[in-house]
Amino acid sequence: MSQPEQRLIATFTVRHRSGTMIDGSVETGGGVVVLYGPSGCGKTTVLRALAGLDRPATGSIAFDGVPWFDAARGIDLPPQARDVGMLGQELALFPWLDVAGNVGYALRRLPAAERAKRVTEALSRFDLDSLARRMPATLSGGQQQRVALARALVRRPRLLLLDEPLSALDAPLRARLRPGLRRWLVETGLPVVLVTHDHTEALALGDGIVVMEEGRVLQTGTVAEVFSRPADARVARIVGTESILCGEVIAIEAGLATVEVAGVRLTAVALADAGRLVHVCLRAEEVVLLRHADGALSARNRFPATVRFVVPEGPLVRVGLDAGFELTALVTRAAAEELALLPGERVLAAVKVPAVHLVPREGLPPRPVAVSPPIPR
Amino acid sequence: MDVTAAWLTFRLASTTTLLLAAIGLPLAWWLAAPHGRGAGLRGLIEAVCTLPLVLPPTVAGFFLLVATAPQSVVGRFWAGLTGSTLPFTFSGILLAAVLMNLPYAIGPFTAAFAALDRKLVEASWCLGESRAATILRVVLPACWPGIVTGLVMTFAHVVGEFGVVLMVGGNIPGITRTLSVALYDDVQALDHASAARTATVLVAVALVALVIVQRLARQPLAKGTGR
Repeated sequence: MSQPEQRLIATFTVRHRSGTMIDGSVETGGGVVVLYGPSGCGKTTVLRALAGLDRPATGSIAFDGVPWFDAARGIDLPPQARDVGMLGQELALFPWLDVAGNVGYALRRLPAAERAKRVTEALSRFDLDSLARRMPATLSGGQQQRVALARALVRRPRLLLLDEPLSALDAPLRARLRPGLRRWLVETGLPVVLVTHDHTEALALGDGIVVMEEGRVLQTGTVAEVFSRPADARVARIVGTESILCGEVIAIEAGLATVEVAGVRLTAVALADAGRLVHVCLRAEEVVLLRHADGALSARNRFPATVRFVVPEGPLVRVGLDAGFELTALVTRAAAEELALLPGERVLAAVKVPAVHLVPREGLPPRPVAVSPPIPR
Repeated sequence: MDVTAAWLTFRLASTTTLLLAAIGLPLAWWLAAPHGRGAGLRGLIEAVCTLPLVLPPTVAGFFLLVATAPQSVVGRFWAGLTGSTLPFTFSGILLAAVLMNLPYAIGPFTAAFAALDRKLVEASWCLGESRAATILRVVLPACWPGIVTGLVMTFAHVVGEFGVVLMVGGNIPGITRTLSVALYDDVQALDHASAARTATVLVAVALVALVIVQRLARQPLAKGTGR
């Protein structure tokens, strides 16, 4: 785990080449912070400013109490002095160096023996031992990514910056590499800032999240908080109206997993190679509400819940529920009236098994899910 | 063949190539740098560097002769610095060769630097390497085919430089008489046998240069892995 003093505090504005101003605001003392938002919202620019590759117009960036950038004081440390591990969207492996040469690139000043030792360690940590003499162009996308990660980490940076680390890979490979990447990131013990526009990637890799749109930071919080309780309609549109819960797989039988979320047991289709810890994702439109548990219903997951708030959204009504964990349901106005949904009422929530989506989550134990007051509208 | 002229030509070509490497590489790096201020100035300098390609050598030679005359600003500056004059000296034809061959060096250098994947440079910076070390460890390995192409083209072209050398340097054996000037002399003197030998050597130099350049153009390392 990271030391408490490894704290990145950054608030700045960068003028993008196109002329648009991009606000960046990131604060982290450890774990993985995801910069999340649609393509072109300025995430990469924020990451480049943190690395020292783009110079902000105003604001400040400090790490470990040391100012990296301060517009008012005229401080702007070059990338070399910031000691970050940066993984761009293009991995930028040096094509004229083999794998070992790439990994050892930053260790030029070390004695040869020490350098060889560090490179060997890094190679074996990322399962690259057998590829040491291969040239980057002959490697698969996943292998290249591991080389780039090993190259960035071998010099023991203090902050790790990753830009869409899995975007260049095809979808099946991405799904396979996600848990491993999360494990590596957690194992480094470094604060990580990771850019992604991919919903699943944000859930699988992030602890904290910064939601951005059109160069503005819209909401900051833990992944579960932000996805489950978007601060406003804009964030909801970007992240989707979805409840993200931290769960633990307690049994798998006949392809179905039993997942415990805050004392409630849910059934979901089991993942092929997921660990014990998962994010449980429930889309608001998939949650069915009933007044009484009478009659047969195909939805296998049923649990009592208390209505926390009812917010009209056009023809629909957004219903906030407390079932021991927070849950949102989208129902029609007619259904809401028929069920007499009012804050404090007890209802039964039901979700079909295929509608419970699991996202594997390696590394950290699930955070306790706090039930907070309804969002002021 | 005139051995003195051959040796002089070699000295002129190699010195010009070295000088153009020293001037041209930083200049091309600046010309190829992406975005930023000074786009207008950049365009002007690029045009000036390309001018010798379209200017008749005699025209360039005439202007150089006037510009470096002992009473001119350049001539007086040079006289104050070295005590000698520029026209009809080795320094004079060296200056002429450097200016006339700017495009042959700057062109390939700039193309190589412009094709360089900036992400590689940034990756090196983020890995803690200084700007200078990054030039040695990333820019040179990535761009050397283009750099060598510029040097070879420059050398080969100086070997064949005629008009401007004759205009600025005249025809002084051991000082300004290069192989191509000697060839012209031979033909004037109807010594076709000597002219043929000299011409053959010049063709061979040009041919070797082109073969080298063509082989370099096929170098796969000039580009990144694409990822």
